Amino acid sequence: MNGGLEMDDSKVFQPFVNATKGIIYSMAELELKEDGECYEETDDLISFGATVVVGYVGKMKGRMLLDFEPNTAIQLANIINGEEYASVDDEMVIATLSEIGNIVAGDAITNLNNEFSLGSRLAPPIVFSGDDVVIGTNNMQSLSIILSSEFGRIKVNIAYEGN
Amino acid sequence: MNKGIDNTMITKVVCDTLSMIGISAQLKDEHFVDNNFKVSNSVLSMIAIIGDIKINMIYSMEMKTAESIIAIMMGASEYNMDTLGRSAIAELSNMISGSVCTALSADYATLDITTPTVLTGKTVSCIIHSVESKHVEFETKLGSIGIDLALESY
Repeated sequence: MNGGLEMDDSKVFQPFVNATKGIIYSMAELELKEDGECYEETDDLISFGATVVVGYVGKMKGRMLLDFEPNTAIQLANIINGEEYASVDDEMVIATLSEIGNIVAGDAITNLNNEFSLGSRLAPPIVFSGDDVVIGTNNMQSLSIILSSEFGRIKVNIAYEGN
Repeated sequence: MNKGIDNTMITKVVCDTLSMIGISAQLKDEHFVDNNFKVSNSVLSMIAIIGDIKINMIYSMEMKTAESIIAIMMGASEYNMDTLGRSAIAELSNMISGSVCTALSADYATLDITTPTVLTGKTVSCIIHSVESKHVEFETKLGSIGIDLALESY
């Protein structure tokens, strides 16, 4: 499943979940609770509405998605920036999601690199939005968990293939 | 853009790769144009080259163009977008970006490419914050294919 890497899916996935919860709390004092268990995605994903994707390469290659319901994204940006935004397409909401994705992925990949000597490097984050956007998983191993907050949901999704 | 990432190389790689799958393409514009790096279309494929430089590449096209390309790749008369179709677009962007990576390897060491992420929808918008960005448009008989490149250098 991991192409020869000696670690199971939970060890790959948990650092991203921990980083998402920890970093969003430290930036916005917003508590995120796990809504069920981590599960394997068996098909392409349908975005909640606003998503940041960060690709990575190394001994493990893949991408991290943080998928936000629109209200969650807007409220997070409001809190972090001390402003009131009306849309996920606002430049500052996009910049906020981009920064969150960058920090979360950086934190998780650093932990994985330190523990498993993966030598992984990150691509710059990309934020995308739209209605009913379908995200291809391209036959990669794909794991997700839903995190719930008072403002709505965030899906953490990791898709990867090993070298 | 930095050395090694020139119009001629990108154009040749894109046209050669599309030609390999039976699609004739030509550069629509005679020059790269600056872009705010907001890309919007029905089908987007995102892939990054990472190493001594970082380049985010976003391929964009209309749904009917993507479906026509997929039909050619699948040897079908027509195709409606689905999971397999998104994988085909991912593979196409992987082929082109892989060739760009190979062409750049003469000037930059230790380059690798990420796995592609394909998005489809009525209108999907992507934004990247980057140092430099260029947009180039290729015309085919199936429609236009846009490629946006955001370069982050060290």
